[in-house]
Amino acid sequence: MVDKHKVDKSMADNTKADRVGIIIDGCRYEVDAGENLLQACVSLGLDLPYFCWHPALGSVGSCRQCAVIQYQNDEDDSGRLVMACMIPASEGMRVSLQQETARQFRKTNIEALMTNHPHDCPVCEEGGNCHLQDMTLMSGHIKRGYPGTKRTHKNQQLGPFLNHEMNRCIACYRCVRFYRDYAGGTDLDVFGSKNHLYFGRAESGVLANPFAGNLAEICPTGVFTDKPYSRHYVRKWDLQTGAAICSNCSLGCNINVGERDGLVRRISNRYHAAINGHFLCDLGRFGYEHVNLGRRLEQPLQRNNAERATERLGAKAAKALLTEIINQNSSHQGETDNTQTKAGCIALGSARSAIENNAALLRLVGKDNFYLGVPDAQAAMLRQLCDAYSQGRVKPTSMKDIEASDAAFIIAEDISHTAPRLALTLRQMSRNAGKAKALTFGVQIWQDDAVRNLTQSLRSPLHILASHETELADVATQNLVLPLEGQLRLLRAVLALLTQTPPTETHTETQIDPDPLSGQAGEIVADLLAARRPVLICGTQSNEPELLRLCLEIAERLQARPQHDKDQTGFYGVTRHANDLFLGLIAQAQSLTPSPLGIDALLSRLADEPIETLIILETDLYRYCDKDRLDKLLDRVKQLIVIEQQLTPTAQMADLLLPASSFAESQGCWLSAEGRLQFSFAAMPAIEGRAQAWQWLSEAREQQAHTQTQTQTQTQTQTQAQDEPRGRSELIAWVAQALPALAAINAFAAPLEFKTLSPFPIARQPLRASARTAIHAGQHVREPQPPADPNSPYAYSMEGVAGFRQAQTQIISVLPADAWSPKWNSDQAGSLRTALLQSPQDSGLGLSEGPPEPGTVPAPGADPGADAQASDCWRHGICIFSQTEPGSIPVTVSAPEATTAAQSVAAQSADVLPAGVWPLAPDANRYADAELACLGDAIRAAMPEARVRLHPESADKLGLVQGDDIRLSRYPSPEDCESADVCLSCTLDAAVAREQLLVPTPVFMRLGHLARVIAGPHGTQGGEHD
Amino acid sequence: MNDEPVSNEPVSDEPMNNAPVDTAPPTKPLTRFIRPGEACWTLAAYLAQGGYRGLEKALGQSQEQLLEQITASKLRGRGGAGFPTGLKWSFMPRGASAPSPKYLIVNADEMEPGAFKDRYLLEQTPHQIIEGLLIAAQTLDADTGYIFLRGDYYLAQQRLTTALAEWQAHCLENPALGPLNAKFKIHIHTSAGRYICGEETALINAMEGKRANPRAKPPFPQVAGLWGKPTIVNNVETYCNLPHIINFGVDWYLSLGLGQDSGTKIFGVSGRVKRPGLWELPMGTPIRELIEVHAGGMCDGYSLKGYLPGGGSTDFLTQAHLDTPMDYDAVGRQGSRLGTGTLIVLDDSYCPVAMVLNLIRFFAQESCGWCTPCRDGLPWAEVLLNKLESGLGEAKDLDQLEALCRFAAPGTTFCALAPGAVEPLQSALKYFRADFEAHITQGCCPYNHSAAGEQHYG
Repeated sequence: MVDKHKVDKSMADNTKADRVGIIIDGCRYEVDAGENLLQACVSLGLDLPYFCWHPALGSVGSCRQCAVIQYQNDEDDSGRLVMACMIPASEGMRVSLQQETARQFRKTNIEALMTNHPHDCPVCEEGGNCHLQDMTLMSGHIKRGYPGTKRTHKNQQLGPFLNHEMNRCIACYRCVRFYRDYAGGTDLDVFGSKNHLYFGRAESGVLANPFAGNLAEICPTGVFTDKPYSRHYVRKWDLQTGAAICSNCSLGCNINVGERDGLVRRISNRYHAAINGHFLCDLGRFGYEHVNLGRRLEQPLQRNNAERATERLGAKAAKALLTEIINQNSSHQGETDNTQTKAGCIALGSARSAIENNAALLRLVGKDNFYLGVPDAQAAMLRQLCDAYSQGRVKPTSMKDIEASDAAFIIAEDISHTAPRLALTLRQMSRNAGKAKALTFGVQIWQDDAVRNLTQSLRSPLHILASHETELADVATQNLVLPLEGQLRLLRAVLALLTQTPPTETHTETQIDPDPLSGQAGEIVADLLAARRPVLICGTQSNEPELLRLCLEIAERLQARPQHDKDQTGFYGVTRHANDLFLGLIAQAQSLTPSPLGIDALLSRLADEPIETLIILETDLYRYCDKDRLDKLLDRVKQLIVIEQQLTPTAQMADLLLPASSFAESQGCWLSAEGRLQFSFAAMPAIEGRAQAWQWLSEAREQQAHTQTQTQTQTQTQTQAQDEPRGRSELIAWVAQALPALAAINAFAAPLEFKTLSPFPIARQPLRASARTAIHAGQHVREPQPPADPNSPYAYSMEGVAGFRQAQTQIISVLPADAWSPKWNSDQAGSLRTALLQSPQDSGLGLSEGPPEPGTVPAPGADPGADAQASDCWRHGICIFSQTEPGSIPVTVSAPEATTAAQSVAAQSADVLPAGVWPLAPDANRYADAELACLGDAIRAAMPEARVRLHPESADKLGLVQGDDIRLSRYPSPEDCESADVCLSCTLDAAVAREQLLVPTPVFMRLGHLARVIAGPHGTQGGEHD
Repeated sequence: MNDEPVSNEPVSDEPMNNAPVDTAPPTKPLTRFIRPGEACWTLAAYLAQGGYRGLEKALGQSQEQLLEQITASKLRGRGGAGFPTGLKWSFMPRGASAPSPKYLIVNADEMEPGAFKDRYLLEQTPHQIIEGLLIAAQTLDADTGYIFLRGDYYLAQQRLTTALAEWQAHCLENPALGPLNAKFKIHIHTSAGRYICGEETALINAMEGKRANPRAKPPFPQVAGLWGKPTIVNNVETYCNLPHIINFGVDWYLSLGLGQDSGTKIFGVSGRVKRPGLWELPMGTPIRELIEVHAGGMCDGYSLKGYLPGGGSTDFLTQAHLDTPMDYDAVGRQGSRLGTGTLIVLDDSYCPVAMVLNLIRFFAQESCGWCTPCRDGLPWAEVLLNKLESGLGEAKDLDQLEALCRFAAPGTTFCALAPGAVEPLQSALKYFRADFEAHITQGCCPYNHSAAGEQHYG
């Protein structure tokens, strides 16, 4: 009561309308109006335990752990027990966390929760990373009073990603709420009643939902644990952690990579409000095992043709050799300056390698000799996207904003497979209509149960145009399943309705007979126009630039619609690889060339002229080209230099093969499909023989610069460690200059300048707690010196700023290393508190007048936009197109006609194709299409068998039945060599569009849009199964 | 007549009363149609006794008029909670702008230990329920009615199904009923069988095909219930009151009660009494009259130790409370609840610990598993009671039991199941503490109910 007088009058006056003052245990705090009291308490840094609540899942009031005392008025001094998660914070509310009744209730509650919990912490993989341990300790339950026996359950085999240990379950319901309600899964449920609840499948089997891996994080104890992690398990406190960016797709999700002893042990979610939030897809979480493969390249290799042998080289020797090869060419090039008749050195960049690596290569060979590591059609589409973004015609939208949209149209992109986390976002988007309805009933949107009961089957409009029914079909308003030709027709109809003029390209049929698709197009347009924040999702999956052009035009038209003040038009262009958009920016810079310089262009150049040296960066050409043809073309190259992580078929052709470090050992910038430039830190140092491409190339570059005057100097006196930071910052400066759209990259030029609020680096390892330091005791009792890491604010050591103490939560959140504190020890609690404490602008929360914890620093500026670029770029990334107004970035725009030059014959209706020729469409699979990730055991186990999917009617036409083999060959067949056939078994599926064949993405990338079906059902079985 | 049990077993041989029943307002409206030994559940019998007169009157009145009468009648929910029916109904959106469809649900999932009153009404007067439902539909402009019937009530299901068919045929012959019949459809939904389905929001979830977990409130079902639409859930007996309130008027109904509460109620007594059964009696009938007059008093050789006044989930009362009138507030003032009005008698030869164990075991088993105090607290109490009953109890167990009662007190749990479940336990600890202590000091059950406790503990 006394404390009431402490309320600062002036502060109360300044209170914004959406902030309210509440009194907790006599102290006044300011929190957001209407947020639930539990969230408010946790945001304030107060210790209030909970289980069933989750910021992304909302409140249901099932666990009863967050009980507090609420007083009715100033006179009330006994109060009544309420669940903090179920009541909204309101002005003047007076509550107590510490009152004895509440404390006692919470203690009894956790004791009740624990009545059936096994005493297996020492052998439980959750131990040390367990929310239940933390909350038990926090609630003060120490001694077991329950005298009964414990119930036991049988566990299930849930597939390659998760372990199941039901005896540990405390029935918080988070797993089913996430799996079913949030992620749309159907094969996990709760069975039974009383304290015999069973959370699992109806019977053992692989969990089908692609976000199941999140159960390992969302489960507050060890029921669901990470199975690949358990195969090489170490305790959480033994992990060395790096804050990285996932490179498995183009979304740029933030991840923590945990390493020990040279092996990546696990990947966990790193909260990013605008991208992944609290959840990752299974590909991102489990797709790391390729890093640990024993067969990964460890040492540079040189082909010695004379002796028909492969020689291993030391790193230094390899660099020298590389320098020699390149300089021979560059001097050669110097002689034939500008004539371009005989290229000395050409290079192929990589869409799955960091910006630095591509930039170093680009600088080395010049932009006319630099080819983008994607097919020409893809390159054209990437350039279309970049052009639209940099001219400000269309603005890419963050996933957070997409989640807040009220209508969406997904166009010819199977995002459940090409960008899985985005599919989860759209699933949440579809719930917004229900949330809006709940608000009209006065129900807060975090009241999860109430909102769902009000929502029932109400969904925000979501239209999906695809060549087959996608995994989002269950929440879609309209599933339009059409072959490419039909998709284009529908998009033209949509565009026509948006422009209210007849389509530019009128088909004769449409004049006679109104297009049967115009009705569906009308529904789409009506929903998009009725929405305040409609969003278009499209991408490059179709491999058809014309389709993307239509999408962009629709987005522009939609943007031009009459709008209210806060209305927005969202757009997201999904690309196939992590750094695709960066290649698009390079394509812009190359815009003088008539057509994009993709893989097809490279191959024709290889066919047309003899090439002295070809450097291939982390691209496997055999994924895009027939083997016979490519073998011949690569044979024509005198020196083939490949920089690659794995021994891919392309790497096997190399004359000089340089091992590239993986994402876990690399640091560098990535440009996501949203145009968000992010920095990825390494979790571990690369071994001696591996390096990032820009490091391999740095010496060659320096030599090249001096090559005209100097003879080769064998030795560099500077050590690598001193050399690198300068080399990198110089490279970054060059990129910023060469690609104006990417000028913001300068912010990442010098990681050392990153503000750690301390002169010391942040330790990647937690404090000495177990046997970590004994790893090398087998070799020597002396501890080796930790590897230097001059490029980063982190150290490969336990020395430095402890990024894992509660007192330094600020630092944790800026770049989470590893959270550890006695009360909030688990990852999930850490990331949750990180989200709440550190991102006031993201979560709508912030530290207010609470008693500051010792050692905390003030919260970052509450205004997101103002200072985000300067200090927050390391945490949030930089959206390079966010400030773009039309014309603000100078770009040479190629005429739209040029981009559609690659338009293929595929857009033709099936009936005008020659007999036996069928249109193909890509059947994306998140696991099988992931070039590196699918090398790992867990992902490989999740991969489906490659097959052709087709509509039963199409099968009838072809005389095929389920399981028959179907043999496909490229159409038209290439002139220079015979095309190899692809033979796959076929699956009949009525959810696939008629008049087309759905083939696995790798097959589609090789065959293109059309294929000749050259063998029917009982054809020869000799074909190679793909 | 007053002390004649109305229970249908055994059937009385009393001659039929052929006098027209509605010449004078009845004193026992709910059972006025019931003729032991006759097929009183048929439409013909119901009509012959003056059935559907209430509906007839209701059809001539406006929705506001009807709601006013229900509110003025002070009818309170007969399912156990005693919430004023008129007030509940007033929360349902009305008028042209109200969401549609609107649902009415008859909660016929009678599973309270000791309660068998709804079964009697369901089996004997299915038309009375249908009439009540139709009056409610007329009042609230509802579109669909569901009778959520306990799955084990086979006979009731059969008679209700027949009655519904009869009613529909009757509507076809009677043009005046056409519009109502066309608008309002009635369905019977037999429960898969859980005690928790008696909780109205769990019932709604069950009807939607979901787990029968109670829902978060708000929104209350009246605003957003079944399929997110406005829904009223009332007990069978509540619906049965409606035809009579409309037929005979509010003043008559108010005059029926002896005390504060209006109308009559079907009371029941089970246990070692001479004549266990059901009686329709005025609200406010004293407990003593119920046990000693209507139930004929305790069986010879047994004396009354205590009783649960309103079914298995109410607090024990004792000899000292026998003069309490059976109405909602009076029983509440004694620290218990009127509940379903079906009284369970504990005699002096039966072990109170065993009785409480039996009840707690039931409630623990029926917990839906949603919230911790119920899911884990009740089984814990069951383990402790088992331990006591097996003679292995310790003094600290009683403290723990008391702590568990506080743990599952109203407000700490998600719904009313666990607070109800611990009511007999907490009151037994208060009134029969000596028995609990004797189990500890003697190291066995003084009543020798060795079979009462299964050996869960040990």
